[in-house]
Amino acid sequence: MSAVLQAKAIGKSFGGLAAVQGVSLEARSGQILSVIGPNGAGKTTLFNCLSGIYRPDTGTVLLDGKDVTGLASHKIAQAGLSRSFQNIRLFPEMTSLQNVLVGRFSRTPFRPMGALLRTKAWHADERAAKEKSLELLELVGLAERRDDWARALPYGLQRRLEVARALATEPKVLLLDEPGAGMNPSEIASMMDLVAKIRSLGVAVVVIEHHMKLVMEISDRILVLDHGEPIAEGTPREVRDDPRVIEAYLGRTEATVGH
Amino acid sequence: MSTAATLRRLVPLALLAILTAPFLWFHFDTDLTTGTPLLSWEPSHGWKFLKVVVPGFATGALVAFLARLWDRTPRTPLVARASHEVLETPWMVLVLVATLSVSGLFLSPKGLSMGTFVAIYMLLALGLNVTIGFTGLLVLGYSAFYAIGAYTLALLSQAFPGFPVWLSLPAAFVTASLAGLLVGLPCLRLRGDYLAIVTLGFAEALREILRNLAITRGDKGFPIASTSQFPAIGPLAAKQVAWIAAIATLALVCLAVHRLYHSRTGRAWIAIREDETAAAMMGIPVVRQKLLAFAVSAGVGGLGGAIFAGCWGFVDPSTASFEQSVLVLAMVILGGIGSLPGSLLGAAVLYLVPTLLRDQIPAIADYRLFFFGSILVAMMLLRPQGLLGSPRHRLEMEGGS
Repeated sequence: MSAVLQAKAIGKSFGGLAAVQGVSLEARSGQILSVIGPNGAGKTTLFNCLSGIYRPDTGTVLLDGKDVTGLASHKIAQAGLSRSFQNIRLFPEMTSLQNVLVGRFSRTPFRPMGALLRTKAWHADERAAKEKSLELLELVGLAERRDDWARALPYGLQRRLEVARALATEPKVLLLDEPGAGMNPSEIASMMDLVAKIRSLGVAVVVIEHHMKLVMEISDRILVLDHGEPIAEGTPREVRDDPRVIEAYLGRTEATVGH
Repeated sequence: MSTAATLRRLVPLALLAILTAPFLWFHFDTDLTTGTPLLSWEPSHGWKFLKVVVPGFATGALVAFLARLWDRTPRTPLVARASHEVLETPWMVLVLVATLSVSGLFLSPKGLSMGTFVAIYMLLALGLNVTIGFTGLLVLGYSAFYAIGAYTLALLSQAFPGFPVWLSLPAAFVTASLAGLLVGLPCLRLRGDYLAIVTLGFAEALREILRNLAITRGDKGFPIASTSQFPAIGPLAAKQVAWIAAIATLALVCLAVHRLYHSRTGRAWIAIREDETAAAMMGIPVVRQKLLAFAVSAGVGGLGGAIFAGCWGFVDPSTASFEQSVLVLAMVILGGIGSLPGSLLGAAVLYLVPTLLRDQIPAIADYRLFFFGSILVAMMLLRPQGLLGSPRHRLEMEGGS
């Protein structure tokens, strides 16, 4: 199966500091690719380059065979890539349902006159968007809380809502930036169940996660970054036994202890 | 808010009272022959000041207190929910327009023109709310679009004698929207509040242009031929026609804004206000949507200007003044940023209170701006989210909870 997302030799520097350098990755439909690495390894920067928040200095991003390198975020989203954020970025002053409805934006026709006159076609669009959004809220387990303000949801549910909102754009590729951050083990486990469910929908999932046990269990492939550079790529087993990976993690710990 | 917290907020006021005391209660002078400074007890200023301050603050506190009572209703204020229901039921809007139109006919000419002005300011507040409230874009020179609307009607009446006001209204909407696009295009591509400063500059520049161009007749102002003003129709006097037109336009704009707000477009606007990066990631073309919001907002401002010109029969460069922009901004803030009925209420209060203070209580006519200011200050202290705003803005201003 060919990769739906292909990134080749992505590089991004900030004032001479190479945050990401020569990183390539391939994400396949119905598979989970995990991106791991110590703090400051450039994982989020990589996501920002892929999702159009940063314009990569070098390299190309192909989404479904189409070159989307350096396009604006909304164009990349329309082309079929969506993401969640490490620090949750919901629309706090909207309800759960409205948050997900915003995700339907590019999949709903633009009918200004329809909205003003409330035509039949407009009603049909709205209904379809709402149904799809409710389905997604159901999927992430938020159906009961559809009318709660996003800001009032507990932290774990806010993360799940962000996933539902990202799915509403009908992505072929979904980037999840630390979906389990700040959660307790049982919340992480249920989040990973959700990620596995999304994989079974045929979405290519790329996930940044720190919880090694879960990463090893759930990933089809793993990409390891250190100091912005790829140091290993392969199946969980291959990566686990890679000496450079061990060094990146353990060697760093020793250095920290040495301080 | 606890009593202690309220009291703590009075501390700056007390400080202010102490600091201003020498100027209010004493008279400074210099002995001209010897040059020594003289200081004498002179309480007349102070008494005059107190006579205004005490009732002024009392009014402010009363308004703020009443506003807080609304908070007791859960989630959305009752008024906001009621207005939502009305706007969801077009025939109710029609009934309201009909009732208001007819009741206006029994008003005195003065009351009628006041009513028309309230409607015009409601339009402006509604329009400005689209950018500042829904989309989160700060616009400080909104009067520019008001002036563009007013001068569109004026110039059309000059270029085509007898140009009917009914065609000027849509024309004013279009020219003001286009001006909005033109101004917004360069600065809406940037993040941050560039729009605030650019629109501020634009309004000031426009005012200077209106003052200096021959075609706009400069500072003298521009009288509009009566054939291009609102005409008398059958038994209805011109002022009555203007009133009905203003009410009908207001209702149409309310309905349109409400429907846009509760659609894909409105959701995109709020998403941009809440988090621009996340909005873009949801596939929303942020720049285009901001431009759309700004064009709609500017167009409504233009519409307000054209109704003003068509009923007042005279426009001058002061329509583009900064004071005008600030007044409309204050209306939106007082009513509650982002709330449609709030904008309407804010406009009514901020237009009627100073006007009624001036007309009805001549004794304090000179101090009406002070009353006005104290009401605003009291509001911002006790209810920063505005009369009908959502409570979140209060949380933000208090540093979260």
